[in-house]
Amino acid sequence: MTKDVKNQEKSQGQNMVDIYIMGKKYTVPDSLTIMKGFEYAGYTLIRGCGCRAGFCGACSTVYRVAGDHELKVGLACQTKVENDMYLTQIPFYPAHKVQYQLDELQGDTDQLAETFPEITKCVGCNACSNVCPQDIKVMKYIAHAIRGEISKAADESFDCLMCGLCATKCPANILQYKVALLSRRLHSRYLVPGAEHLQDRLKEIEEGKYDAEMDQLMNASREELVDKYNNRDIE
Amino acid sequence: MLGYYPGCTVRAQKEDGFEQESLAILAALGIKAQELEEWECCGAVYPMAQDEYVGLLASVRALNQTEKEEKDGLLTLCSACYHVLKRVNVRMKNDEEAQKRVGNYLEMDYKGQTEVYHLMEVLRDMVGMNSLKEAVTEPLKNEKIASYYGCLFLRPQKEINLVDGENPQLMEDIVRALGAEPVTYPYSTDCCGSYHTCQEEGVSRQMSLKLVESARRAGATQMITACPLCKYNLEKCQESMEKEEKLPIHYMTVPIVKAMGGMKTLERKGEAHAYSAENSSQSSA
Repeated sequence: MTKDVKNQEKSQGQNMVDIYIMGKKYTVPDSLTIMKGFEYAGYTLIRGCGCRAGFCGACSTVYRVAGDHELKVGLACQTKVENDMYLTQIPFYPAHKVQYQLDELQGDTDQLAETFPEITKCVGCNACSNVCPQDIKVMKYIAHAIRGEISKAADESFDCLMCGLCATKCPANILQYKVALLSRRLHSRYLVPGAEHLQDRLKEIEEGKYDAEMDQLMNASREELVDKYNNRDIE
Repeated sequence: MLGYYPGCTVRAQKEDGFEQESLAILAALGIKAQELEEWECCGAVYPMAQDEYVGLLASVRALNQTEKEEKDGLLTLCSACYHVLKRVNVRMKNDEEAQKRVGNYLEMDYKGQTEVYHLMEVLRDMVGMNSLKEAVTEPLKNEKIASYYGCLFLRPQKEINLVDGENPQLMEDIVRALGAEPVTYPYSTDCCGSYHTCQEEGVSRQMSLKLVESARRAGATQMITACPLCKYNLEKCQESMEKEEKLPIHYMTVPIVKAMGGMKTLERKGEAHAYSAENSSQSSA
Protein backbone atom coordinates (compact mmCIF):
# COMPACT_ATOMS: atom_id res chain seq x y z
CA MET A 1 0.00 0.00 0.00
CA THR A 2 2.71 2.44 1.07
CA LYS A 3 4.71 1.39 -1.94
CA ASP A 4 1.74 2.18 -4.15
CA VAL A 5 1.37 5.61 -2.59
CA LYS A 6 5.09 6.21 -3.10
CA ASN A 7 4.95 5.19 -6.74
CA GLN A 8 1.80 7.14 -7.34
CA GLU A 9 3.18 10.34 -5.80
CA LYS A 10 6.54 9.84 -7.45
CA SER A 11 4.81 9.77 -10.81
CA GLN A 12 3.47 13.21 -9.94
CA GLY A 13 7.04 14.50 -9.49
CA GLN A 14 7.22 14.06 -5.70
CA ASN A 15 9.86 12.06 -3.83
CA MET A 16 8.26 10.41 -0.84
CA VAL A 17 9.88 9.49 2.48
CA ASP A 18 8.70 7.52 5.50
CA ILE A 19 8.53 9.33 8.82
CA TYR A 20 7.40 8.01 12.19
CA ILE A 21 5.14 10.20 14.32
CA MET A 22 4.90 8.78 17.84
CA GLY A 23 6.00 5.46 16.41
CA LYS A 24 3.45 5.31 13.57
CA LYS A 25 4.65 5.35 10.00
CA TYR A 26 3.48 7.98 7.50
CA THR A 27 4.65 8.61 3.97
CA VAL A 28 5.11 12.26 3.08
CA PRO A 29 6.85 14.29 0.32
CA ASP A 30 10.54 14.91 1.09
CA SER A 31 10.21 18.61 0.28
CA LEU A 32 8.21 19.27 3.46
CA THR A 33 9.33 20.54 6.82
CA ILE A 34 8.57 18.35 9.83
CA MET A 35 5.63 20.60 10.68
CA LYS A 36 4.18 20.42 7.17
CA GLY A 37 4.80 16.68 7.28
CA PHE A 38 2.58 16.40 10.34
CA GLU A 39 -0.17 18.29 8.57
CA TYR A 40 0.25 16.24 5.39
CA ALA A 41 -0.18 13.14 7.56
CA GLY A 42 -3.48 14.50 8.83
CA TYR A 43 -2.57 16.10 12.15
CA THR A 44 -4.09 19.43 13.11
CA LEU A 45 -1.59 21.48 15.07
CA ILE A 46 -3.14 23.66 17.73
CA ARG A 47 -0.18 24.05 20.07
CA GLY A 48 3.53 23.71 19.52
CA CYS A 49 3.30 25.71 16.31
CA GLY A 50 3.67 29.44 16.62
CA CYS A 51 5.25 31.66 14.02
CA ARG A 52 6.16 28.90 11.53
CA ALA A 53 9.18 31.00 10.63
CA GLY A 54 11.91 29.90 13.01
CA PHE A 55 11.53 32.71 15.50
CA CYS A 56 9.18 31.72 18.28
CA GLY A 57 10.79 28.49 19.45
CA ALA A 58 7.48 26.75 20.08
CA CYS A 59 8.07 23.71 17.86
CA SER A 60 11.21 22.11 19.23
CA THR A 61 11.49 18.55 18.07
CA VAL A 62 13.69 15.65 19.08
CA TYR A 63 14.36 13.13 16.33
CA ARG A 64 16.51 10.24 15.33
CA VAL A 65 17.14 8.77 11.92
CA ALA A 66 17.02 4.96 11.78
CA GLY A 67 20.49 3.42 11.87
CA ASP A 68 22.04 6.38 13.69
CA HIS A 69 22.17 6.26 17.49
CA GLU A 70 22.45 10.00 17.93
CA LEU A 71 19.39 11.98 19.03
CA LYS A 72 19.10 15.20 17.09
CA VAL A 73 16.99 18.30 17.58
CA GLY A 74 15.52 20.95 15.39
CA LEU A 75 12.62 23.32 15.01
CA ALA A 76 9.77 21.51 13.26
CA CYS A 77 9.05 24.54 11.07
CA GLN A 78 12.68 24.81 9.90
CA THR A 79 13.89 21.23 9.57
CA LYS A 80 13.08 19.15 6.49
CA VAL A 81 11.85 15.58 6.83
CA GLU A 82 14.27 12.76 6.11
CA ASN A 83 13.60 9.14 5.35
CA ASP A 84 13.10 6.95 8.45
CA MET A 85 12.91 9.90 10.81
CA TYR A 86 11.51 9.14 14.26
CA LEU A 87 9.89 12.28 15.65
CA THR A 88 8.89 13.55 19.09
CA GLN A 89 7.53 17.03 19.67
CA ILE A 90 8.38 19.01 22.81
CA PRO A 91 5.77 21.77 22.59
CA PHE A 92 5.90 22.46 26.32
CA TYR A 93 8.48 21.86 29.01
CA PRO A 94 7.36 22.14 32.64
CA ALA A 95 10.19 24.45 33.69
CA HIS A 96 9.86 26.42 36.90
CA LYS A 97 8.82 29.99 36.17
CA VAL A 98 10.68 32.20 38.62
CA GLN A 99 8.64 35.30 39.41
CA TYR A 100 10.44 38.61 39.67
CA GLN A 101 9.78 42.32 39.27
CA LEU A 102 12.44 43.80 37.05
CA ASP A 103 12.19 47.16 38.79
CA GLU A 104 12.98 45.56 42.14
CA LEU A 105 16.14 43.84 40.88
CA GLN A 106 19.61 45.30 40.46
CA GLY A 107 22.04 45.15 37.58
CA ASP A 108 24.89 44.00 39.81
CA THR A 109 27.09 40.94 39.62
CA ASP A 110 25.11 38.75 42.03
CA GLN A 111 21.66 39.27 40.55
CA LEU A 112 21.55 36.32 38.15
CA ALA A 113 22.86 33.84 40.72
CA GLU A 114 20.46 35.22 43.33
CA THR A 115 17.44 34.79 41.08
CA PHE A 116 18.59 31.45 39.66
CA PRO A 117 20.87 29.95 42.35
CA GLU A 118 21.05 26.62 40.51
CA ILE A 119 23.39 28.09 37.87
CA THR A 120 26.32 27.54 40.23
CA LYS A 121 25.65 23.79 40.00
CA CYS A 122 26.91 23.77 36.39
CA VAL A 123 29.43 20.94 36.00
CA GLY A 124 30.53 22.01 32.54
CA CYS A 125 29.18 19.00 30.59
CA ASN A 126 28.17 21.27 27.68
CA ALA A 127 25.05 19.19 26.89
CA CYS A 128 23.13 22.48 26.62
CA SER A 129 25.33 23.87 23.85
CA ASN A 130 25.35 20.56 22.03
CA VAL A 131 21.55 20.43 21.90
CA CYS A 132 20.89 24.06 20.97
CA PRO A 133 19.16 24.30 17.57
CA GLN A 134 20.41 27.89 17.30
CA ASP A 135 24.06 26.87 17.82
CA ILE A 136 24.33 29.19 20.79
CA LYS A 137 27.22 28.60 23.20
CA VAL A 138 24.81 28.02 26.06
CA MET A 139 27.39 26.81 28.57
CA LYS A 140 29.49 29.88 27.79
CA TYR A 141 26.69 32.30 28.65
CA ILE A 142 25.92 30.34 31.82
CA ALA A 143 29.62 30.74 32.73
CA HIS A 144 29.23 34.49 32.20
CA ALA A 145 26.08 34.43 34.35
CA ILE A 146 27.90 32.63 37.18
CA ARG A 147 30.63 35.27 37.10
CA GLY A 148 28.06 38.07 37.07
CA GLU A 149 28.98 39.23 33.57
CA ILE A 150 25.41 40.19 32.69
CA SER A 151 26.09 42.02 29.45
CA LYS A 152 28.28 39.24 28.10
CA ALA A 153 25.57 36.68 28.93
CA ALA A 154 23.02 38.90 27.18
CA ASP A 155 25.18 39.22 24.10
CA GLU A 156 26.09 35.54 23.87
CA SER A 157 22.44 34.44 24.26
CA PHE A 158 20.98 37.01 21.88
CA ASP A 159 19.75 34.49 19.28
CA CYS A 160 17.88 32.36 21.86
CA LEU A 161 14.32 31.44 20.84
CA MET A 162 13.38 30.07 24.28
CA CYS A 163 12.63 26.60 22.90
CA GLY A 164 13.87 25.13 26.19
CA LEU A 165 15.79 22.15 24.81
CA CYS A 166 18.87 23.18 26.85
CA ALA A 167 16.89 22.78 30.06
CA THR A 168 15.69 19.31 29.05
CA LYS A 169 19.30 18.15 28.82
CA CYS A 170 20.78 19.80 31.90
CA PRO A 171 21.99 17.39 34.63
CA ALA A 172 21.99 20.29 37.10
CA ASN A 173 18.39 21.35 36.33
CA ILE A 174 19.45 24.80 35.21
CA LEU A 175 16.86 26.81 33.25
CA GLN A 176 19.39 28.27 30.85
CA TYR A 177 16.95 30.06 28.57
CA LYS A 178 15.25 31.82 31.46
CA VAL A 179 18.60 32.91 32.89
CA ALA A 180 19.43 34.25 29.43
CA LEU A 181 16.17 36.19 29.25
CA LEU A 182 16.83 37.79 32.62
CA SER A 183 20.37 38.71 31.56
CA ARG A 184 19.01 40.52 28.51
CA ARG A 185 16.35 42.24 30.60
CA LEU A 186 18.88 43.40 33.20
CA HIS A 187 21.26 44.50 30.46
CA SER A 188 18.61 46.63 28.78
CA ARG A 189 17.07 47.94 31.99
CA TYR A 190 20.20 48.75 34.00
CA LEU A 191 23.41 48.50 32.00
CA VAL A 192 22.97 50.28 28.68
CA PRO A 193 22.29 54.00 28.54
CA GLY A 194 18.62 54.78 27.94
CA ALA A 195 17.56 55.56 24.37
CA GLU A 196 17.00 59.32 24.54
CA HIS A 197 15.36 59.58 21.13
CA LEU A 198 12.73 57.09 22.28
CA GLN A 199 11.96 59.16 25.36
CA ASP A 200 11.73 62.28 23.19
CA ARG A 201 9.36 60.60 20.77
CA LEU A 202 7.17 59.24 23.58
CA LYS A 203 6.95 62.72 25.00
CA GLU A 204 5.93 64.12 21.62
CA ILE A 205 3.23 61.48 21.32
CA GLU A 206 1.92 62.22 24.80
CA GLU A 207 1.86 65.93 24.05
CA GLY A 208 -0.36 65.24 21.05
CA LYS A 209 2.04 66.18 18.29
CA TYR A 210 0.74 63.41 16.00
CA ASP A 211 -2.93 63.45 17.00
CA ALA A 212 -4.10 65.41 13.98
CA GLU A 213 -2.30 63.15 11.49
CA MET A 214 -3.63 60.09 13.26
CA ASP A 215 -7.21 61.39 13.18
CA GLN A 216 -6.84 62.13 9.51
CA LEU A 217 -5.75 58.55 8.82
CA MET A 218 -8.44 57.02 10.99
CA ASN A 219 -11.15 59.00 9.22
CA ALA A 220 -9.81 58.56 5.68
CA SER A 221 -11.89 56.75 3.08
CA ARG A 222 -10.72 53.52 1.49
CA GLU A 223 -9.79 55.38 -1.72
CA GLU A 224 -7.72 57.94 0.16
CA LEU A 225 -5.88 55.15 2.02
CA VAL A 226 -5.19 53.26 -1.20
CA ASP A 227 -3.91 56.43 -2.78
CA LYS A 228 -1.72 57.22 0.22
CA TYR A 229 -0.34 53.70 0.22
CA ASN A 230 0.45 53.70 -3.48
CA ASN A 231 2.13 57.09 -3.29
CA ARG A 232 4.04 56.48 -0.05
CA ASP A 233 7.72 57.29 0.38
CA ILE A 234 9.80 54.22 -0.25
CA GLU A 235 13.33 54.29 1.18
CA MET B 1 51.87 35.22 24.75
CA LEU B 2 50.33 33.38 27.68
CA GLY B 3 46.69 32.33 27.84
CA TYR B 4 45.01 33.75 30.90
CA TYR B 5 42.44 31.98 33.05
CA PRO B 6 40.95 34.53 35.49
CA GLY B 7 38.77 32.18 37.54
CA CYS B 8 35.41 33.02 39.07
CA THR B 9 36.59 34.33 42.46
CA VAL B 10 38.90 36.84 40.85
CA ARG B 11 36.05 38.05 38.65
CA ALA B 12 33.48 38.09 41.44
CA GLN B 13 35.83 40.16 43.65
CA LYS B 14 36.77 42.57 40.90
CA GLU B 15 36.93 45.57 43.22
CA ASP B 16 39.88 43.97 45.05
CA GLY B 17 42.06 44.91 42.10
CA PHE B 18 44.02 41.64 42.17
CA GLU B 19 43.47 41.00 38.50
CA GLN B 20 44.30 44.50 37.27
CA GLU B 21 47.42 44.61 39.43
CA SER B 22 48.65 41.20 38.33
CA LEU B 23 48.23 41.96 34.64
CA ALA B 24 49.82 45.41 35.04
CA ILE B 25 52.84 43.91 36.82
CA LEU B 26 53.34 41.33 34.08
CA ALA B 27 52.83 43.87 31.28
CA ALA B 28 55.39 46.21 32.86
CA LEU B 29 57.86 43.32 32.99
CA GLY B 30 57.22 42.49 29.34
CA ILE B 31 55.04 39.40 29.83
CA LYS B 32 51.90 39.33 27.72
CA ALA B 33 48.79 37.44 28.75
CA GLN B 34 45.42 37.32 27.03
CA GLU B 35 42.20 35.98 28.49
CA LEU B 36 40.99 32.78 26.85
CA GLU B 37 38.10 33.35 24.47
CA GLU B 38 36.04 30.84 26.39
CA TRP B 39 36.43 29.35 29.86
CA GLU B 40 34.20 27.97 32.56
CA CYS B 41 34.61 27.51 36.29
CA CYS B 42 37.22 24.83 37.03
CA GLY B 43 35.01 23.54 39.84
CA ALA B 44 37.40 24.87 42.51
CA VAL B 45 37.83 21.36 43.95
CA TYR B 46 39.85 18.63 42.29
CA PRO B 47 37.65 15.51 42.05
CA MET B 48 39.03 12.96 44.46
CA ALA B 49 37.04 9.97 43.21
CA GLN B 50 39.02 8.22 40.52
CA ASP B 51 35.97 7.32 38.45
CA GLU B 52 34.55 10.83 38.48
CA TYR B 53 35.28 12.36 35.09
CA VAL B 54 32.74 15.17 34.86
CA GLY B 55 34.84 17.29 37.24
CA LEU B 56 37.71 17.18 34.75
CA LEU B 57 35.75 18.51 31.78
CA ALA B 58 35.86 22.27 32.38
CA SER B 59 39.59 22.24 33.11
CA VAL B 60 40.45 20.07 30.12
CA ARG B 61 38.39 22.35 27.90
CA ALA B 62 40.36 25.38 29.12
CA LEU B 63 43.70 23.57 28.73
CA ASN B 64 42.78 22.47 25.23
CA GLN B 65 41.53 25.96 24.38
CA THR B 66 44.95 27.31 25.38
CA GLU B 67 46.58 25.04 22.84
CA LYS B 68 43.99 25.86 20.21
CA GLU B 69 44.68 29.57 20.63
CA GLU B 70 48.40 28.82 20.28
CA LYS B 71 49.28 30.32 23.63
CA ASP B 72 52.54 29.46 25.44
CA GLY B 73 50.84 28.13 28.55
CA LEU B 74 47.98 29.01 30.85
CA LEU B 75 48.33 31.66 33.54
CA THR B 76 46.23 31.65 36.71
CA LEU B 77 46.20 34.03 39.66
CA CYS B 78 44.20 31.98 42.12
CA SER B 79 45.67 29.07 44.08
CA ALA B 80 42.47 27.04 43.75
CA CYS B 81 42.33 27.39 39.95
CA TYR B 82 46.05 26.66 39.78
CA HIS B 83 45.64 23.57 41.93
CA VAL B 84 42.71 22.17 39.93
CA LEU B 85 44.04 23.00 36.45
CA LYS B 86 47.49 21.65 37.22
CA ARG B 87 46.27 18.43 38.80
CA VAL B 88 43.80 17.82 35.98
CA ASN B 89 46.67 18.37 33.56
CA VAL B 90 48.88 15.86 35.37
CA ARG B 91 45.99 13.41 35.33
CA MET B 92 45.47 13.88 31.59
CA LYS B 93 49.17 13.38 30.97
CA ASN B 94 49.38 10.09 32.84
CA ASP B 95 45.97 8.47 33.03
CA GLU B 96 45.03 6.71 29.81
CA GLU B 97 41.52 5.95 30.98
CA ALA B 98 40.91 9.63 31.68
CA GLN B 99 42.36 10.55 28.29
CA LYS B 100 40.00 8.12 26.64
CA ARG B 101 36.84 8.99 28.55
CA VAL B 102 37.28 12.75 28.62
CA GLY B 103 38.58 12.77 25.05
CA ASN B 104 35.59 10.80 23.78
CA TYR B 105 33.11 12.98 25.55
CA LEU B 106 34.64 16.30 24.53
CA GLU B 107 35.59 15.01 21.10
CA MET B 108 39.13 16.27 21.48
CA ASP B 109 42.50 14.68 21.83
CA TYR B 110 44.13 16.17 24.89
CA LYS B 111 47.05 14.57 26.67
CA GLY B 112 48.35 17.22 29.03
CA GLN B 113 50.44 19.26 26.57
CA THR B 114 49.60 22.69 28.04
CA GLU B 115 51.77 24.12 30.82
CA VAL B 116 49.93 25.68 33.76
CA TYR B 117 51.51 28.67 35.52
CA HIS B 118 50.73 30.61 38.65
CA LEU B 119 51.56 34.31 38.66
CA MET B 120 54.43 33.69 41.10
CA GLU B 121 55.86 30.98 38.92
CA VAL B 122 55.89 33.38 35.97
CA LEU B 123 57.75 35.93 38.11
CA ARG B 124 60.31 33.31 39.10
CA ASP B 125 60.79 31.49 35.79
CA MET B 126 59.96 33.98 33.04
CA VAL B 127 60.90 37.29 34.64
CA GLY B 128 63.52 36.17 37.15
CA MET B 129 64.28 37.58 40.59
CA ASN B 130 67.10 39.76 39.28
CA SER B 131 64.89 41.46 36.71
CA LEU B 132 62.21 41.95 39.31
CA LYS B 133 64.76 43.53 41.63
CA GLU B 134 65.91 45.85 38.86
CA ALA B 135 62.32 46.93 38.25
CA VAL B 136 61.93 48.04 41.88
CA THR B 137 62.11 51.81 42.13
CA GLU B 138 60.82 52.28 45.66
CA PRO B 139 62.19 49.49 47.89
CA LEU B 140 59.94 48.63 50.83
CA LYS B 141 62.61 49.21 53.46
CA ASN B 142 60.38 49.36 56.50
CA GLU B 143 58.12 46.44 55.71
CA LYS B 144 58.34 43.05 57.39
CA ILE B 145 56.26 40.77 55.24
CA ALA B 146 54.97 37.35 56.27
CA SER B 147 54.33 35.17 53.22
CA TYR B 148 51.39 32.80 53.39
CA TYR B 149 51.32 29.94 50.91
CA GLY B 150 48.36 27.88 52.06
CA CYS B 151 47.89 24.31 50.97
CA LEU B 152 46.38 24.33 47.49
CA PHE B 153 49.47 26.05 46.16
CA LEU B 154 51.88 23.46 47.57
CA ARG B 155 50.24 20.09 47.92
CA PRO B 156 50.29 17.35 46.83
CA GLN B 157 53.99 17.95 46.26
CA LYS B 158 54.26 15.14 43.71
CA GLU B 159 51.72 16.75 41.38
CA ILE B 160 52.09 20.48 42.02
CA ASN B 161 55.89 20.35 42.41
CA LEU B 162 56.35 24.10 42.23
CA VAL B 163 58.50 24.67 45.32
CA ASP B 164 59.74 22.71 48.31
CA GLY B 165 56.42 22.05 50.04
CA GLU B 166 57.99 21.83 53.50
CA ASN B 167 60.13 24.94 53.32
CA PRO B 168 59.05 27.10 50.40
CA GLN B 169 61.07 30.26 49.73
CA LEU B 170 59.51 31.57 46.51
CA MET B 171 57.39 34.30 48.11
CA GLU B 172 60.24 35.18 50.47
CA ASP B 173 62.52 35.62 47.45
CA ILE B 174 60.00 37.99 45.92
CA VAL B 175 59.74 39.90 49.20
CA ARG B 176 63.53 40.22 49.27
CA ALA B 177 63.57 41.45 45.67
CA LEU B 178 61.14 44.19 46.71
CA GLY B 179 63.59 45.38 49.36
CA ALA B 180 61.41 44.27 52.27
CA GLU B 181 62.32 41.89 55.05
CA PRO B 182 60.75 38.42 54.92
CA VAL B 183 59.36 37.25 58.24
CA THR B 184 59.86 33.64 59.24
CA TYR B 185 56.97 32.06 61.16
CA PRO B 186 55.98 28.43 61.59
CA TYR B 187 52.59 28.26 59.85
CA SER B 188 53.18 29.63 56.36
CA THR B 189 52.17 26.32 54.77
CA ASP B 190 49.20 25.46 57.02
CA CYS B 191 45.63 25.55 55.78
CA CYS B 192 43.47 28.67 56.35
CA GLY B 193 40.29 26.61 56.63
CA SER B 194 39.37 27.16 53.01
CA TYR B 195 35.71 26.44 52.16
CA HIS B 196 34.79 25.72 55.76
CA THR B 197 34.11 29.43 55.86
CA CYS B 198 30.86 28.77 53.95
CA GLN B 199 29.43 26.21 56.36
CA GLU B 200 31.50 25.98 59.55
CA GLU B 201 32.83 29.47 59.88
CA GLY B 202 34.21 28.80 63.36
CA VAL B 203 36.57 26.18 61.96
CA SER B 204 38.17 28.44 59.36
CA ARG B 205 38.24 31.36 61.78
CA GLN B 206 40.20 29.35 64.32
CA MET B 207 42.62 27.99 61.75
CA SER B 208 43.21 31.40 60.16
CA LEU B 209 43.61 33.19 63.49
CA LYS B 210 46.43 30.83 64.43
CA LEU B 211 48.29 31.84 61.28
CA VAL B 212 47.74 35.56 61.71
CA GLU B 213 48.72 35.56 65.39
CA SER B 214 51.86 33.61 64.62
CA ALA B 215 52.88 36.06 61.89
CA ARG B 216 52.20 38.99 64.19
CA ARG B 217 54.32 37.52 66.99
CA ALA B 218 57.14 37.08 64.49
CA GLY B 219 57.01 40.84 63.90
CA ALA B 220 55.17 41.04 60.56
CA THR B 221 53.76 44.40 59.44
CA GLN B 222 51.64 42.69 56.80
CA MET B 223 50.82 39.27 55.37
CA ILE B 224 50.65 38.41 51.70
CA THR B 225 48.68 35.60 50.08
CA ALA B 226 48.54 33.98 46.65
CA CYS B 227 44.83 33.27 46.70
CA PRO B 228 41.57 35.22 47.02
CA LEU B 229 40.04 32.71 49.42
CA CYS B 230 43.08 32.69 51.76
CA LYS B 231 42.94 36.48 51.81
CA TYR B 232 39.25 36.42 52.64
CA ASN B 233 39.75 33.99 55.54
CA LEU B 234 42.76 35.76 57.01
CA GLU B 235 40.82 39.02 56.96
CA LYS B 236 37.57 37.53 58.17
CA CYS B 237 39.15 36.00 61.30
CA GLN B 238 40.23 39.48 62.43
CA GLU B 239 36.79 40.96 61.88
CA SER B 240 35.99 41.65 65.52
CA MET B 241 39.37 43.25 66.31
CA GLU B 242 39.99 46.96 66.69
CA LYS B 243 41.35 48.53 63.55
CA GLU B 244 44.84 49.12 64.94
CA GLU B 245 45.05 45.52 66.16
CA LYS B 246 44.45 44.08 62.72
CA LEU B 247 47.34 42.76 60.67
CA PRO B 248 46.89 43.99 57.07
CA ILE B 249 46.35 41.13 54.61
CA HIS B 250 47.25 41.74 50.97
CA TYR B 251 47.50 39.86 47.76
CA MET B 252 51.13 39.48 46.88
CA THR B 253 50.53 42.00 44.09
CA VAL B 254 49.99 44.93 46.47
CA PRO B 255 53.60 45.24 47.73
CA ILE B 256 54.94 44.51 44.24
CA VAL B 257 52.92 47.35 42.73
CA LYS B 258 54.04 49.66 45.52
CA ALA B 259 57.72 48.80 45.13
CA MET B 260 57.54 49.23 41.36
CA GLY B 261 56.22 52.77 41.71
CA GLY B 262 52.43 52.40 41.73
CA MET B 263 49.82 51.44 39.16
CA LYS B 264 50.30 54.54 36.99
CA THR B 265 53.99 53.81 36.54
CA LEU B 266 53.25 50.17 35.77
CA GLU B 267 50.67 51.07 33.17
CA ARG B 268 53.11 53.45 31.50
CA LYS B 269 55.79 50.77 31.40
CA GLY B 270 53.31 48.24 30.07
CA GLU B 271 52.37 50.58 27.24
CA ALA B 272 56.03 51.19 26.45
CA HIS B 273 56.61 47.42 26.21
CA ALA B 274 53.58 46.97 23.98
CA TYR B 275 54.76 49.83 21.78
CA SER B 276 58.29 48.50 21.34
CA ALA B 277 56.98 44.97 20.74
CA GLU B 278 54.68 46.29 18.04
CA ASN B 279 57.48 48.24 16.40
CA SER B 280 59.93 45.35 16.44
CA SER B 281 57.32 43.01 14.94
CA GLN B 282 56.65 45.59 12.23
CA SER B 283 60.30 46.04 11.38
CA SER B 284 60.86 42.29 11.20
CA ALA B 285 57.79 41.83 8.97
